[in-house]
Amino acid sequence: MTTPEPGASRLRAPAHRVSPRARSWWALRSAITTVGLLVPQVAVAVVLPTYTSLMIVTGVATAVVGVAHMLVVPRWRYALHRWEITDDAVHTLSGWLRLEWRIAPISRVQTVDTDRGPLQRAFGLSSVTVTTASASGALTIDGLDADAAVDLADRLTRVTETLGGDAT
Amino acid sequence: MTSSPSDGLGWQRLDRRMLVVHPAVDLIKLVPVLLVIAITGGTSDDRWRLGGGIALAVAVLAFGISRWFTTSYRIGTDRVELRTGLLRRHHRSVHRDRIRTADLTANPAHRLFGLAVVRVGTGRREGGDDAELTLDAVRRVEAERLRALLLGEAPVDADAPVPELARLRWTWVRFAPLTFSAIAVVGVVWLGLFRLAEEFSLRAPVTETLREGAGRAPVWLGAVALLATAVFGAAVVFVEGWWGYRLTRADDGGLVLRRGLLTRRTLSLEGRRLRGVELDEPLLVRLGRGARPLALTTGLRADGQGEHVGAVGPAMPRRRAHQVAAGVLGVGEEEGTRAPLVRHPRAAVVRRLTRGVGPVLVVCAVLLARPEAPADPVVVPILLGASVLLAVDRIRSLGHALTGTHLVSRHGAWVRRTVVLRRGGVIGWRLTQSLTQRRAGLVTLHAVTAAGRGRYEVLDVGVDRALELVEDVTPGLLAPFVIDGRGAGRLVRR
Repeated sequence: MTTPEPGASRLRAPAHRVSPRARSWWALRSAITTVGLLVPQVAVAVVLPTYTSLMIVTGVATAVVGVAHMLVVPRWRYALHRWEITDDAVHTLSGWLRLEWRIAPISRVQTVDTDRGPLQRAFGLSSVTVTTASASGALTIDGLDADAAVDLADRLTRVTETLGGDAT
Repeated sequence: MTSSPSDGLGWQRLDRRMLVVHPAVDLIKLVPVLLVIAITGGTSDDRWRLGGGIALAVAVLAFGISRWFTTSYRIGTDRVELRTGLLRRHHRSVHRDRIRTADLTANPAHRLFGLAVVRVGTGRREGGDDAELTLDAVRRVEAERLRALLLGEAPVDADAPVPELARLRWTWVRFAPLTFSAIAVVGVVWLGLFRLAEEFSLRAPVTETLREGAGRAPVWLGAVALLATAVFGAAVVFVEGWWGYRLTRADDGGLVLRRGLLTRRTLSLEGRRLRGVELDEPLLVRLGRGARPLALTTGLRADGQGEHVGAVGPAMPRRRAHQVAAGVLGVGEEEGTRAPLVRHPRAAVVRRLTRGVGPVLVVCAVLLARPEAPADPVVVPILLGASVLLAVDRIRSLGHALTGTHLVSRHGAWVRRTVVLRRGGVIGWRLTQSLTQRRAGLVTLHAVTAAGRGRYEVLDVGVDRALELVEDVTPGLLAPFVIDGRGAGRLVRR
């Protein structure tokens, strides 16, 4: 690989993390997916005896990968996901191998949605989605504290209402 | 009504001639079904099949006629309403403030009767469902009047001189066989011929004839036949699509595009929805020194089936395409698609080479590792040569610029795209940095916009340059985050 070009500036990470409880939510979601993958394998192992040994091998592999995913990925996500709202824009940062920084100027925001699935509700969490007029411009902040999410959405909605225009 | 009261508040019907057009078109569509009814069977009672066929035809006729009686529309002072449906009534209303497009199309049946379809769109694509309202059909004159009325233009006077941006030149037909759609047409035509032959059980004799003929006819004859259909098919598609092509500027700074031989289309692009232009140069077209201009407007869906919805012209000589693009933008060519581009850092050049040639090297290594492969001395040099040429082409294409009014970005080899996006049309940003980009000190900057494909990228620029572009186009947006990071290739310090 080549040497980096000399750079004079870069960015600091946005200030806020999501709620610490998001880790538990992501872990539970991961566990549910793993169980969902294991159930058919167990069913096959019980019903079709010829495939029992094969199913044990794949089942153990699934379980190992699933547990590793559950232990590692939620922590990573929590460490990497950041967001911040300045006077001008909404910023989110995500990604591990591939960083992705998204910016939606507040003057261009069209809708602000909060979304709470049953799992998120169990942990008192909520997602906030900010959309702009672009087909690929939506920003999502997952795993916010439910109250904080409502406050945030209210604040953004109020700011965007005062600006007017069709934001395209 | 054939003549409508001006801005009448009352409900109006479609043109009376649709009483004929709708049933006729429906009946023609029914012909294959009736044929199948007529041909199939033989053991069953003939009277039943005859009766059934007639009943079906009558039902279709009745339905076609009923459409005229059940359809009505109203152009109110603040909304446009349309009522349709016989058993299930449907009422759609669109607020006139929200109307962004009013396009006219006329297929051969419509044109025979001097009618045109008016398609009123709001240009919003939430949920992928563009709230659209179709008047099928009204008289041509009435359609033109409605279009002007709904878009808030002065009625188009056919004789008045309008600023013309482009007009069809028949020499452009030479680019038609070089486009991908030409190849697709050939595929469809040949497939259709084979299917037809199969249908009439001609296959066995045909294959026999082919087998007999194969001994005598040289292979190049087949190639010539294929090529000839490609050229001919492409020319036919070009003539149908672009006959009478004319691009003019409307009063509001928007565009009016007219084209089509059998199906006439009049497409208007509102000035305030225009966000920029794109110049596409597919490899073959580029080798023929051609290019195709597209307009970036909000509300046009990027996934037009097989047709570039945003196209404001066919593939044409590059020089002309630059002119059309400049005309659409309303700036000089040097400010638009011909703006002098800033080269990207050396690391970006190296990345084009490693990404272009690297995978091919692996493939070649695998090919050479296999002992039983007689074609290797031919295939390997061709693969390597082509990949190097493509990589070099990518390097030559790569560039961007920021003019006083627009952000310009160019990249690509198979299709070289030059995007010119108005500064005010940028409604957000996305900065991405992969692991390898991080080590090379590069980022990819995506300018998010409401038009066209939704976001346009500036590939592999230095971190500094990316931040500079963001600051220039949208001052202050990233300022709270910028810190000193001398010597670092990372975009973000955690």
